[in-house]
This record gives sequence, structure tokens and C-alpha cells, in this order.
Amino acid sequence: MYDSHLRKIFGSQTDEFRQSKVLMVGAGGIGCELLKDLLLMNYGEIHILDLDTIDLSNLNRQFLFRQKDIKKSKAMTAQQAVSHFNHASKLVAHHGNIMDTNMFPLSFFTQFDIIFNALDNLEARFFVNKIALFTKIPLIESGTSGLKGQVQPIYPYETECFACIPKEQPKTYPVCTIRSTPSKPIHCITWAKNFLFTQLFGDDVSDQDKLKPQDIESDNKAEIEALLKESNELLDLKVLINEAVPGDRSSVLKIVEKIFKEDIERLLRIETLWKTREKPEPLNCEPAKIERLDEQKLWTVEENLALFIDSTCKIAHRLKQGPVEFDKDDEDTLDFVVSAANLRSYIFHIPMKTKFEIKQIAGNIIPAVATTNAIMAGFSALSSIHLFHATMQEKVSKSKMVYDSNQPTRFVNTSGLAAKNPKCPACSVTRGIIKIDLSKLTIDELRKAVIDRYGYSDDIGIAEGTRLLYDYDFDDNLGTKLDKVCSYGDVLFITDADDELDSLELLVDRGDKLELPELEVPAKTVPEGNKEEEGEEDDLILEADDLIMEGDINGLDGPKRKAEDDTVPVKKRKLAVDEVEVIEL
Amino acid sequence: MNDSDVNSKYDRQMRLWSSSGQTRLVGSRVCVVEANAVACETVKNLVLAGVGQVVLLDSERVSGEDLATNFFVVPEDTGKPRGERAATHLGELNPDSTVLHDKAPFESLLEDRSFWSQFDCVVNCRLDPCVPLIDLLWALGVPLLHAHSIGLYSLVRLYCEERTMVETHSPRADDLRIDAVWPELQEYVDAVDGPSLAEVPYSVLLIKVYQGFMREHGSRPGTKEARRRLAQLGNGDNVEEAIRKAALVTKRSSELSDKLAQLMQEKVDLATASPFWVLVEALRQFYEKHGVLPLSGSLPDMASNTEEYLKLQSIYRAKHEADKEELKGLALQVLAQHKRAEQIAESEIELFVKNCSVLEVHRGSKNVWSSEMLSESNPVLHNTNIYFGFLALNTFHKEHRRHAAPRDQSEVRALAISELCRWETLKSFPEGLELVLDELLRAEGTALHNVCALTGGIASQEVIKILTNQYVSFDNCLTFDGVRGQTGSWKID
Repeated sequence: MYDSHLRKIFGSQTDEFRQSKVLMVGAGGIGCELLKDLLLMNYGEIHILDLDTIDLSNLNRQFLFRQKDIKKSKAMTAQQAVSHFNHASKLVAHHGNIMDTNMFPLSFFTQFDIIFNALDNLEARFFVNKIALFTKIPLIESGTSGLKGQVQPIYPYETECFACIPKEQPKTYPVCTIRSTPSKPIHCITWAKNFLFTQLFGDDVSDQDKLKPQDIESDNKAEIEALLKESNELLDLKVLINEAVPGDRSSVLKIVEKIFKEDIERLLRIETLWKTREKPEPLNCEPAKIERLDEQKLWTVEENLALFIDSTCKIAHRLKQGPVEFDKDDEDTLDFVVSAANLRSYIFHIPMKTKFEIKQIAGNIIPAVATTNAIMAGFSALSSIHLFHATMQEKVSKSKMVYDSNQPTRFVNTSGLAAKNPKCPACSVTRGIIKIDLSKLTIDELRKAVIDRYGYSDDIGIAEGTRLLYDYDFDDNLGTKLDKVCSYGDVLFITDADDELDSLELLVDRGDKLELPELEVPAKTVPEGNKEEEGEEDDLILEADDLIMEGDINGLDGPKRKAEDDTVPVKKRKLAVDEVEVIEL
Repeated sequence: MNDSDVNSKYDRQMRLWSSSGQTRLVGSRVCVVEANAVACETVKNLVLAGVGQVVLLDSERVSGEDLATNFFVVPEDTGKPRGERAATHLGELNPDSTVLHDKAPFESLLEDRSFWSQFDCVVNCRLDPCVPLIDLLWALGVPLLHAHSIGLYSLVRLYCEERTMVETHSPRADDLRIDAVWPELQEYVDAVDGPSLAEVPYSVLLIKVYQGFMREHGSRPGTKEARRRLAQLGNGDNVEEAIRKAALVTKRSSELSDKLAQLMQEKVDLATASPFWVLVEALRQFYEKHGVLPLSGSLPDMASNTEEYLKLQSIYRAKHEADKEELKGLALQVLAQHKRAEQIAESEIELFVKNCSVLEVHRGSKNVWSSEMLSESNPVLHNTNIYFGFLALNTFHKEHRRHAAPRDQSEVRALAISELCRWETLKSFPEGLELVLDELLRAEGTALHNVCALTGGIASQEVIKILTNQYVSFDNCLTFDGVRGQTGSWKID
């Protein structure tokens, strides 16, 4: 193979690349770039894993995909696209969800020397982080958002892990704001996407999903009644839609009548709501004749109404073929949300927005471009060379965290890896892998084995996720075989009934006979009271945040951190995430 | 593809530079000299972004080394013209973009003004920065990037006489004018009292507190004092928000950033200067007269009754429109005074007013070297050493027609010293330079794909900033150090 050039630069380390097996999670923006970079580093075996299929809006950066590949599996297509290249690496593609423990049991992960994350959502990132902690496999985490990005090598328990710094939680709005008293465009968009769309086109709304009085955080009785009535009428309309004949607009016009007129009139009758607020005005206009609408321009209320009728008809028609879900790249569903949100905004005297703007908000779109992905993938691949140093101390000290810079002297900032956060919810926990045959052991047998092995003084509690399997008040299951209550890949959470020892996480892995991991469970530390100090504000210094208007839409604030060079202070590190899609409105 | 398909295809990047930026990319032509890995990685990113036309200038043939470092040539291409093969593979990435190649030897084009003047930007990926090319493109006003990589190092350098940037996307402070209220806003603020205080955006509360304190003390309040007074206004969302933003009462609306103050002092010949400078002159006159900049017109999201928010917004909008008209009048006056017949587009004035607090101007230089670079006070000395190492290797390459190898260590060091002495009187060999030279020699001119991809990412990002004229580029030299995993940039005057 052509590795003479690698040999000149990396010497005998080149052979270690050849002998290594790596996993790349995500074959999107960063993934396509990273795969190319890893191939040209001559890694022995590269596994490509992605659950997604290719979309038109990927083509501006995911260079392994073409127009003809749209709707195909990203992982498979990426593998085929690089096959022409004369590489020596063995490639394996997996089309599936990384969090699917049947498809990817623990033994799948333990075959790898390195895991590269090139993911677009926090949930999967946290999951892989946890896998890395259980298996102690080094993880190289990366992400981009617009022209910003970051790369973070993680040595489990040695350096800061992905969960060591709390990530910003998605913002939620009270039900009343969304349903009765919106005051911002975002409230109307949330209403259109999360409420109206689901109510009209979602799978049959079961009793469980029905709005219950206790869900409404309001003590206004009239408001609660109005909202409940509104919901029930909507269910009737849903039936109408399902039964409508194609081309028959009458049921859609009834929906318009109801949600943009009658419901508003009903809200208006609750006078207490409008004491300090401006009253909404029920919609009173005729749809315009529309042909093509420019998505960058603001549409009139008549145009929005026409589009609302049009898109509702189209979706209702499609429902006959199967379920329709909101997708920012599905024009009909997007048109529906845009027009419904704008009509509602109009009624409540809130500024309307362009389709382009609403798409970004409703679809949680993060800007993405090939250049930044190329830069961050380059850093990610290059970070992996430090994993081949002989000692952990050397690995950690040579590795660098990379993040975007706003300093004129640095294009990107780098800093040494931080130590792990002693209060981290992920890596401060004692954990290990338990080998077990679930069909042979009962809960009681497991309980006794754990108590013996780790020296719990009396009794323990066992839970899987939020499901309690056993504690001293709940011993119904003691004689039950474990395979009835949990499966391989689950994590068992062990707590000390006497609160003396710390809790313990055990990942269930298939084994012939019971093997408990070698570990010491430390004594429980009493959490210190929240001693958050309120700093005295300096009168003359403005908080930078007060003055910044154009912010990162999706910035995940980290602690203040110092960059490598003393001369380059960094105020705040923001983590960027490639196309985060999990953050719900 | 129809328009809506084009919009969805480029959707994720148009959120960075909007349709105006995308239109400029589509209409652009870029020339890339040499079809090595850095070049192809740069072109890949330009083609994906939808740059209209790229011309690869290369007269080499595909070699084994190309196959090992460059993803965009395949084994079947071996021995074939490199520019043509790479152009074919890169052209497949995006049907909206045309990738052409030209086999003419680079040297034969060095005096061909008509060849180079067809491009909006040129990227030279050879080791040699090529002074004649720099001179020629400088004279033609075509921006030039020099990008190259050896081993774990790379460099990117921008040669451009002047870059005036309006859409910088730099963070802008909310321009609320707490301390500089105009009559219409004053009228609104005065009308708010009693229970209506609970319904207005926080900025109105800040204005009230500011003005009350000024009346009583004749000086502006501090943050603490403002917070104390705000706390007495009740406990609504808007009061809470006002307390959080109380520091804004200390912000002087008249204050200019150093950069902008300096910019307004620049002497340019207004008879020939670009519309940007005409607008800067108008801005200077505006500021001289009013003591503040024209209002940007956008209000941040604030907790408030919707109606009150909209009222306030329309007051800020109206002021913005009025300021914009005044600035436009001043600009037209400047043009008339200099007997210039041209007009400035309305959209251009709008963008200028919106961004007037974050304008940016870079003045480039043609020098490949400046004497201050190796001074002790240089914060990125190590990165400067890398740049210097590339220059020394280039001198060696020109003399020997081959890449320097470890066995050439003493000669390269001697070359470096004599090179340095041409530029300045050298007291001692710069710290760290020997290590950098050794690292470069170890690679014997070989590139590493990984570093090329990263460098291509940086270079293409700068090209896109130049073509869209959005965002701030680095000014004007950057090196990447793969040993330390670090970039550093500094200005060569």
C-alpha cells in the first residue's frame, strides 16, 4: 500500500494504525469527511454506523452523496462511495440506531480501539459517552454549528467526559401560553407543530394523550373548560378529515372556521384573560389565489390562509396511504406549520414570519457548511494519533481539545484536556459490566451475589431505568427469573438501603456464568449544600452577554477555560453540535 | 432542479450567508493553481457550496504520491494529466458547479493579465508564494490566497490590497439608546406610568430609571443603583429582565469602538473611492452632527405586552428609517461634491446602517516577510517559525529542483540564516526554528492527507468569505501546526 509517506511522518506508528479497528458513529457532515481522513491514515478496519437516509439538504456538504442517492442509507452509500478509492482499510457499514442494544450489544463495541463520534444529537452523544465509560474505549467527540465547531478527545475516567459539563436544556413553554395566550412567534409555531399538527394528523389520540385538567397549569376554571372543549371538537374534525373525499374542501373549511374563529371567540369570552393583554381578533378574510410563494418573503394573511387550506388538503389525502409526520424537509407538512403559525400570529397581533425563518425554528435547523466540517474532521482524525503513545500520561498530555475562537490570533483555539468533573453525573459513578445468563438467575440470587461481592451491609435496591425491580418494600419479584424483567444491554442501578455505600451501575452482558466486575464501591459522600455565591456586580463593567445580540442559537455553555497560550484568554467555551435535532420546542 | 430544490439543497449554508451570499457564490469564478491534495480539498468545499466555476491549473501527471494523499485521483488515473483527472472527479460532486482544467504551464501565464483578470479569487497551492503572481494579481485587484502543506505543517496567506467588510456578522450590542432618547421615544416613555409600567419592555424601565437618577444627581446611575430602583417597580417579568440587564444604563450610546473611530479617521480620496468609503464619510458627518451612530433599528426580544412591544418597535423602526434617509442624503452630498454621478443602492445603505457599528477594513501587504515577525513579543512566534520554514524550503527547492530531506539539514539551516539576514540584522537564531526545520525536512516535501483536508477547509472558508463578502477573514497569514494541534495567525505588514 501507499504508506511510505505516512511512514516518513509517523514512523513505526503507521503499523499501529494498520492494526487498529475503529468505529465511526454518524456518516453525515463530519462523518463523510472523517471517513476519507481515516481511510488515508490507513486504519485497518473502519466501521461506519448511521441510522439516517440521505436528503437533498445534505448535498451541500456530505460529499460522498449525490442526487441519485437521496433516500438511501447514509452508512451503506458512504461505504460504496469510497470503494473506488485504493485504500487498504476493511470497511463495514451498519444501517441502524446506535442505541439499539439488540443490533449493537456490548460485545459489538468492545471490538474497537477507538470510537469517533460524528453525531447530530445530544441523546446519542450521551449514549456513546456512557458506552465509552463502561468499556473504557477512548472516544473522540466532534461537532459543528455554522462556522463554529469543536473536537474533544475523551479518555474515560482520566479526562473530562461528554457529560462532565452540563448541556443546555431545551426550552419549554407552559400549556396556557401555547394554547390560550401566545405572545411571541415561537409560541404560535410550537402550537402549529406540536399541538395542531399532532391533533389533526397524528396517530389516533388515545385516552392517555387527551388533555386532562391537571395538565393545564392554570387555575382559571373557564380557561380549562374552554381548552378541553376545544380538544374534543378537534377530535371530531379529525374524523371528518379522515372520511373526506379527495378534492372536497368543505371539511378543511370547517377546520378553519373552528380553530381560527370559534376557538378564538370562546377564548374571548373569558374576560379575565384579556385584562392585561390585547384581545385576539377572530380571522375574517378570504383565501388569496396563490401560485408560487417566495419563501424568503413575508406572505399576506390571505396567502397564508390559502396555503393552509391547500396543505391541509394534501396532507389529508396522503393520510389515506399511511401516517404523515412533521418533517422540515416535507414541503406539505412545513407549509401547514408555517401557514397555521402565521394565521395564529395574525389573530394575536404577533408579527408573522417568513417560511425560511419558521423552517429554522420548527425544524431546529443548525446552519452547516462543508468548510467547517472539513476543519473539525481533520482535527478529529489527527487527534487519534495521540492515542498510540505508550503511557496514559503521555496520551492525555499530548491530546488537545479544539474549539472555535473569536481571537484575532487564533483561527481555532486549543487547550489541554481538562480533568474529570468530580460531580459529573456520568463519570463520577462507579460502574462495571456484569456477565450473566439472565434465563438462569433470579432477582434474589443476583441480589445476594451483589451484596456479598461489594460489601453492602444489609440490603440493596435494584432498578432498571425508572423501573424498580426490587427493594425491601417491594419484594414481589424476588423469585422471578431475570430474563422476565430485563434484557442484555440494560443498565441495572444498585442502591444501598442503608445509604452507606455509593450507588453502582451494572451493564448487563451475556455470559455463561455470573461474573461481577472487579471494583470497589466507595462510601457515599454527603452532597454539600448549594453554596452558589452571588458575585457582586461591578458597576462599570458590562456583562458581555448583556451586549451580545447575535448569539449562537444552540450554544451549550461550558465553564470558563483558559486556552493553551497564556496570551489568549478565552471567555467562554461554547460547544457546537452538528445539526442538533433533538431539542424540542 | 427548480428554485425550491436549489433552496433546499443550499438551505443549511444560506442560513449563514443568506440568498444574497449564495447568489454571489453562484456567479463567481475561482482559479486554483496546482492540483495537489490541499488544492483538491479546497476545490471540493467550493464546489459543494455551489461556486459557479473553478479552473484547476496544472501541468503534472498523476503519481503514486498523489494517490496516497489525494482522495480525488484514483489508481486508473496514474500517469494521466492530473488537472484533468482531478477536475473530472471534483466536477461530479455538484452539477451546479463547473470544474475546468488548464494544462498551460504556470510560468507561461505569469504575464498574461487577461487570463488572471477573469477570476474573482485565485488560490495558489504551490510551495512557492511566487512574487510575480502576487504583484500581478495585486495590480489587477484580484484577491490571492497562498496555501500549502508539508508533513504536519501548513500555511495559508491572503494577499489583497484592501477588504472592506459590511456584513461582518460580528456580535453587535443591542442599541437601545437608554441615555440618548429622541423626542418620539421620550413621548412614549413619559406616557407610561402607574399600572402600565408592568406591560412595557424592560428598556423603557431602564430609560425611566436612568432619567430619574440623572434629574436627581446630574450623573448617570451605576448598575447597583439602577437595580435598587428597578426592584421598587414591582415584580413582573419585565422588571426581572430589566434587573438582569441593568448594566445597560452604564453604556454610553455615543461610544465608538476603537476600530470604528480609527476607520472614520482614515484619509481616502473620495473622488475615486468605493461606495463603502463614501458611506463611511457620510457616517463620520452623521456622528459629528448627532454624537451617535444611525440607529440599527432592531429591538431584542423582550418580555412585554405584545401591543406595547410593537409600539416601541415601530418607534425604533421609524427612527432607523429617518437616520437612514439622513445618511443617504449625506452620502449623495459627498458624491455630488466630488462630481460623481453614480448612485448607491438602497439595499446597500440599509446593510451599511444595520452593520455600521461592526464595520471592518483590512489593508493587506505584498510582502512575504516583515521584520517584526520574529520579535520576542510575537504571541504566535512558533507559528511564525513554520511560515519561515516554508520560505527556507522554497529557496532550497528553487536551487536544487528537489525537496529538502534530513540529509540537507545543515544546508537548510544555513539558507534560513542567510534568508533571515536579508530581512533584518539577526541577533540570534529564532528559538524553536531548528525544530521546525527538522520536522519539515523529515517529511521531504510529502503531504499528509489529513492536514491537507484541514488546510483546504480553512482556505476554502476564506475564499467563501471573500466571494460573499461576508464574515471577517483572518488578517493576513496563518499556519497550522499538527504537532501541537494549533493554528496561529498574525499580520504581515
